[in-house]
Amino acid sequence: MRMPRFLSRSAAMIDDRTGLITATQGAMYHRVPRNAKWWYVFGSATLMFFIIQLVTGVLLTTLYVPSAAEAYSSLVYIDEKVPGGWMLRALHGWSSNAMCVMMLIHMTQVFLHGTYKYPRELTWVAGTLLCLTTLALAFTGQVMRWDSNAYWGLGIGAAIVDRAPFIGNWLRAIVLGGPDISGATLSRFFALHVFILPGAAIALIGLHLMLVLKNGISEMPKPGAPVEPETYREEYHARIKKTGVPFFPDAARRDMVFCGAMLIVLIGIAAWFGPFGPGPVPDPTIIEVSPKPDTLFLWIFAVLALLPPNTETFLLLAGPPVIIGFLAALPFISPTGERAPSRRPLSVVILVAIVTALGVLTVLGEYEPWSPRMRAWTSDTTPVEYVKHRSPLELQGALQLQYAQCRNCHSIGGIGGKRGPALDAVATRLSWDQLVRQIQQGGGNMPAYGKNLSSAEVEALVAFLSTLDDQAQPALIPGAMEAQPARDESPTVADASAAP
Amino acid sequence: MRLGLICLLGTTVLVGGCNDLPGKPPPNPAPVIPANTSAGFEAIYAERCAGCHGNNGVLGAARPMRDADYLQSIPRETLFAVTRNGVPGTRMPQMGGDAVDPIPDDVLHKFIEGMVDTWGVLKPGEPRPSRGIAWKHVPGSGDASRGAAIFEAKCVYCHPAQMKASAAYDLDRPGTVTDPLVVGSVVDPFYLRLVSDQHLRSSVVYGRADLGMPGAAGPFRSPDGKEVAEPLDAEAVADLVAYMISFRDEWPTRAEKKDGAP
Ligand code: HEC
Ligand code: HEC
Ligand code: HEC
Repeated sequence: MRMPRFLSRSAAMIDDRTGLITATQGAMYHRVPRNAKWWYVFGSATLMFFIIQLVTGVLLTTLYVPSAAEAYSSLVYIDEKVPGGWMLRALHGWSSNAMCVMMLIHMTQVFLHGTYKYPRELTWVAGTLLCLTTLALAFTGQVMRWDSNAYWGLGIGAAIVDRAPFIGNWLRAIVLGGPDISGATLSRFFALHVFILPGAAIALIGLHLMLVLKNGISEMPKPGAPVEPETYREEYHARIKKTGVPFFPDAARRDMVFCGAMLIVLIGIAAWFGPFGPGPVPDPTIIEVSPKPDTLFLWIFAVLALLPPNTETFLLLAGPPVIIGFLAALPFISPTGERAPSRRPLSVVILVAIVTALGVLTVLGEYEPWSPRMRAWTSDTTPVEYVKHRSPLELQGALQLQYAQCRNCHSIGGIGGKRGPALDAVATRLSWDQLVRQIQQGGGNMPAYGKNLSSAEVEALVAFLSTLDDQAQPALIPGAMEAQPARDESPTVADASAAP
Repeated sequence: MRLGLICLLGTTVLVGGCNDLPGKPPPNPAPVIPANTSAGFEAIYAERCAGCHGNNGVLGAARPMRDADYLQSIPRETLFAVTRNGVPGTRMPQMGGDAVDPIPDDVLHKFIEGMVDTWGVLKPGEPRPSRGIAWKHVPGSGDASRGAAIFEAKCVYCHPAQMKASAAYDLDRPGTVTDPLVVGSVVDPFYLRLVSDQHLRSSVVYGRADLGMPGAAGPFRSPDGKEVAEPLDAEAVADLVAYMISFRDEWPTRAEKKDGAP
């Protein structure tokens, strides 16, 4: 096929003035290693998803109203009134997740194959920055939904920031645009999500691709062929010249097949599962929601719940910089040497450990009701076995357990929070006095109720708790499950009469 | 050209067919089931009341709501007011008004309607545990000493001041009773401080069929556990309540810290 003359003439003119066409052709036909097989498609897929994000994102900005009062209703409007609007949101949401997943797979592959070594160190560093940008985009995107889950995501973020010594409050104010989550917060995150972060991502992608072109695509690692900076480039170019193939169409074909398949999967998923949220309407006065961040960030949720309280602050503040620093410094820690995974067992172990840890934490975050369920106190019923054959005072104790919202943290009959121990067999573990002390003085992560409960209330609670022996299990400690002391011997009363 | 056509077609199908795809979000906010239907009121009940008043209205720690006699005797307006404002000083929370996460008044009205229409249906000919005795407690009514005598004759077997005092106390297995209906003291000052006078009256008038507490119609028990068929009349109910109340401040005499939400 031949181009009409005027077209080829104008193309030549444009190329002469800008050099764009030569550069594109250079990129298209640059030679890549012949053995660069399917391993290498993930980077391209990440890019494709980013482009989908740009297109759907721009369309969404034309419909979305970034104000605290209207953001939520504009999402509902997009879902329900705009033809295909929900599909647009679904594509944007799922493609965001897909992009993160592809990016993580891509990073894993690069790490596993030691591709970050000489001369591609800076490509890796740019990639690390891109990774952070992408995660930040995903996080700020979830805030755009401005539902109660967005509140929660922000709440976690603000709480982490708040822990910084000395500057915590100030940082928090910068992140939230004020002391609390408000309309200003949304504006701030909107600016981040649609201008600053995408801008940064585009610049970084440009840099990343430029570096990829400059240093060439790496070959599959061969055991026993370590990277030697003195000779690497020469040998690489020689090999590529001899055995390489042009990127287009030879390698690009695989990319296109893979991206095409991914695109179809994406559309399928979006059509089937629909958009994310919006969840319940955000309302700072309503605490009764059980908010949950998007899957991608669930592991943070689990980490927060699992960290021992006295190390939490330190690990939360020191952890991310250390991890990011380690990632960025990786190519400088081991810039040369073997690339094959079989010769780098330590790297493989580290990788497996990280993947397993993230996987397990995500699953934990998904299944464990870490966050208190705020309507638990009026909806979680007391098991019927714990109601039958109880004295009137014990029944009041069961009611007090609901009323004081103990079940936000404690479960009985398998229902309730998981922050504190299940109370079904508490009578076998603690004596009457110890129960009184636990409730009045708290301890561990449990608040002290001493000032908030009257002695009658404590007495009723303890009377009820001391009947919870898990179907007549024997006492585990001496003193547990002995008959309740006479009223005037009860420690609640001793305490009360000591008080002024 | 062909590619363009396919693309155009694809987009049209995607956008046009969008409404039939499974991912289309359900309407937001979700359509509400009116609270005065049985499904609507039961949903609210499960969220807001079941924790204390029991799953399906029975066998909770607080009195059962699935009690036709009870629901028929209380005026709906009173039911509404109690639910909306709670019972101060007890564990019955305020559910409407300026409570946190309140049930709006109009929903609450319908909810009460739904509850009375669903659970408050008296079957014709069914005996009424209350014998038609009024729900309302009148402060200051009743005579405690008369109440003491009635209590001794009809209640003390099931409600001994100390478990050991009951005829059903099992000497072979200390700490237990042979009769599961023997449950313990209703004159314990700590118990009495946690409940309202009205609660005592409601308990005596309507009983708790789900747990075996007889209403005013009886039957009761003599101190040695024999059945006593003779029912209570309105005066006896007031006397019994006055008797129980008289123990509330008996001991310790120190003024109790006011109960409140934690
Ligand atoms: C904020 C969450 C939280 C709330 C609310 C809470 N607890 Fe706890 N509770 C805990 C934690 C955490 C522990 C474990 C403390 C420890 O490790 O020493 C605990 C321990 C206990 C124990 C001892 C259990 C054992 O097996 O050792 C009892 C009893 C108890 N709580 C009763 C209550 C009661 C009654 C209430 C309501 C008045 C209540 N808790 C409210 C978190 C909570
Ligand atoms: C057959 C035994 C029996 C007799 C007789 C009996 N009760 Fe009860 N009573 C119960 C049971 C069972 C409950 C259910 C509450 C529980 O398990 O603690 C109860 C509950 C109560 C309650 C409410 C307790 C709460 O939930 O706050 C009061 C008040 C009460 N009885 C008073 C009386 C009075 C007054 C009499 C005498 C007229 C009486 N009872 C006779 C068995 C009995
Ligand atoms: C936290 C526990 C709790 C919850 C939740 C709760 N209640 Fe109650 N309710 C109580 C207690 C305890 C009493 C007895 C109060 C007293 O001593 O008078 C009570 C009493 C009542 C009474 C008056 C009973 C009487 O004495 O005649 C009504 C009516 C009532 N509740 C309705 C409701 C309804 C309707 C809901 C749900 C919207 C509800 N309650 C939710 C604990 C609860």
